[in-house]
Amino acid sequence: MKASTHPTVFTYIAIYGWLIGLTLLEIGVVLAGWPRGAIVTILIATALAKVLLIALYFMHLKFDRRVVWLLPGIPVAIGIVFVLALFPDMVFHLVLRM
Amino acid sequence: MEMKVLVYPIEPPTGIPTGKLGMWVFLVSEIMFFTGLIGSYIVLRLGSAGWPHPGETLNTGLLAVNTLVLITSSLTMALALNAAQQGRQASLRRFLLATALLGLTFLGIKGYDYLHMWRRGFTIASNLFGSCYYLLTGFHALHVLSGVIVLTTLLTAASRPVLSQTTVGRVEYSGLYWHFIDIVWVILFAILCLV
Repeated sequence: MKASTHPTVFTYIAIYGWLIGLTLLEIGVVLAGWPRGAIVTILIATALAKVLLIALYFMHLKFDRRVVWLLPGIPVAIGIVFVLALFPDMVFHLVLRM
Repeated sequence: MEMKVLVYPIEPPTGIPTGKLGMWVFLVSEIMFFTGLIGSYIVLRLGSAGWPHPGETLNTGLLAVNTLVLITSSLTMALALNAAQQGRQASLRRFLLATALLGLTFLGIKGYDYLHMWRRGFTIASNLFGSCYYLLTGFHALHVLSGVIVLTTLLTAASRPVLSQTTVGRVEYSGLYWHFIDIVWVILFAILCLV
């Protein structure tokens, strides 16, 4: 069986540095007291970046066959659709509160 | 009487080792589980008026430390796999032990956090945010505990005189689970503890 290539120790440590840096950025943005919209946008972007870094390098998805991507990809897509499908209801409640 | 013998190829048709495929299928069910919980939280949060600000209710500093602890445990788990693949058994044991200890540290901090907030009057019955917080972080903590138990059994296997290929495979599959737990916490930390 063909062995999949895995990252080197240096790559693992570099990814760890990025994860720590992004976490500190998240905390910094919240402590800085920026506008709520900016905080939410940055936090979603940093969380997404961290998830991708862990999945691609620590879980080796970057080095796996593309068919493996389907396994986590399908339930994540279903979850996003689930939340988006309820957006009209959430917007309705937000409008009611205005 | 002539007998037909079915001979299965060594390489599975998918090209993915069976154990790894099994772990990914298990993780799919876990993704569905946490997607349901997190999705419900988002819907409740956006649909509710007067949601308390996490910074005023939660101990954000403590939760940030816990995030750093879990991210560090992901690094040690990745290094454990690297050591296993290179046959460095002593390093494998050290990194597995470090990962398990970091997992226990996470649970210890979480326990202190729960106790601290409980004394301040923020319980699972306080409000909708309390229910969501304890439910989401509680289920996550149970997963960390399961991971620590798995790591302990791996540590026992890695302490045997010879490091088998089966053990190397188990380190990789357990690593997938451990990193998944890390991913869930990364999301929870952002949407539950900061926003």
